[in-house]
Amino acid sequence: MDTFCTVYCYAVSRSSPDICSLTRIYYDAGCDDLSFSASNGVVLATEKKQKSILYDEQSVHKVEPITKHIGMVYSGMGPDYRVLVRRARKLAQQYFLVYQEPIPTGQLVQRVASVMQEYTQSGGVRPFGVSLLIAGWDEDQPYLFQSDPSGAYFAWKATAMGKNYVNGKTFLEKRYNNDLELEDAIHTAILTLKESFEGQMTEENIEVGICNEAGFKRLTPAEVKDYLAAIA
Amino acid sequence: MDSVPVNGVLRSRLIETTIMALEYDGGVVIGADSRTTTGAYIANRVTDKLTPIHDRIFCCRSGSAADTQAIADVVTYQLGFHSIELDEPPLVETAANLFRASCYRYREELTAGILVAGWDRRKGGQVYCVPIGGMLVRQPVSVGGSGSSYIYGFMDSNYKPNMTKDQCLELTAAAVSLAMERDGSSGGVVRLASISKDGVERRVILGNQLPKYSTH
Repeated sequence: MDTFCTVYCYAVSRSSPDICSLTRIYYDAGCDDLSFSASNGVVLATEKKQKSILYDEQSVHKVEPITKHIGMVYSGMGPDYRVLVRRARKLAQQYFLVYQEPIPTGQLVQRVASVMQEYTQSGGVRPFGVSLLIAGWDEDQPYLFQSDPSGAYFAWKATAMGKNYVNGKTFLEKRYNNDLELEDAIHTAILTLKESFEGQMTEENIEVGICNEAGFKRLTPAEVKDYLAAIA
Repeated sequence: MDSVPVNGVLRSRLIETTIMALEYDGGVVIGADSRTTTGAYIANRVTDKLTPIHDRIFCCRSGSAADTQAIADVVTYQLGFHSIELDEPPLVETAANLFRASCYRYREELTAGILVAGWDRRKGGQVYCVPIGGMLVRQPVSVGGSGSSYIYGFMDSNYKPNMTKDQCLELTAAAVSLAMERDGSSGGVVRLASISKDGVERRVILGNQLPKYSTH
């Protein structure tokens, strides 16, 4: 009985305090990111501060495409994110193989969130230390979802995650309206990011992804520079 | 298409098909007939045997319709995943190798003769042949299906290296038409496609527009 309890508690206790502390961890240590659903697209924006100028910023990305029409970004632990990106890509392909149709954003989010939930209820593993923002376009509509380490997922019109998510959300609440176009949304997203940005914001230390009827695309540094110039 | 009664059920096949693919400087041209049969019955007279695998990579299918569709679907999955992981368009050689891997591993269960053709940045237009059994070889010109037997001579004598895209399209249309004329199991319309860095252009030549060769 004791042994059973101990073992059980061991398995559980490894996860439950961790879920709470993980939540805190990713909110404290994670970078800021936010996303925005416009009338004709979705924008994801994140800061990507590297610890040293010697890092090759373009070799690792936070904003990642999952399919032609869906992309995502994260707040939290990079290595955990990589695993989920790979999983999501496989899930999307699998869906297409069965249904001969590009996976609807909501379906992908459900499946990814299921994976994240699995890791809160299985033995010997810990929950994913990331919160995901998933942006997609299907059936002529933009979609934006958040997925947490618990496996809970939410749809958003606009949201912020990370260190200063409170200020971010407040800023977005003031500036969001349903008729915003993608261009304005990108502009607003970058402004929101700037609010809590320490230091100089350049095209090398932020990443922006957009999703519209043409599909999902991560903006090149040159394109980001143009938008930055507009707010300078 | 052949019929092979399996457990009393006829299977659709594409074996009596004519497919071909040619390389030109800057891309590839592919062509096929449009007949799918179960036995003597033409199950589909407007079949599309030119199947997209990725943005600039197609495959031409001959053999069992079910087998080639299933393989093409699996390779589309594998290549789609591979390409998005790499964050760049996939190589034609990669696609061809994925086809070969499936066709060789399951060679005892499958009847699939596939031509993989497309364009990539590294080597331009390429045609790879994956015949029954699962071999892989790159060829500038490749024909397949039962109708191909009738046009090997035509291809050998009429193909010249460094043809333009339009010459390739004409040659493909002519060759497939000739094969369709002689092969009872090829027929319908001629489907053509050309793939280059600028994209894919598809065309159909209907029965009454086919080049005519017989004089009687």
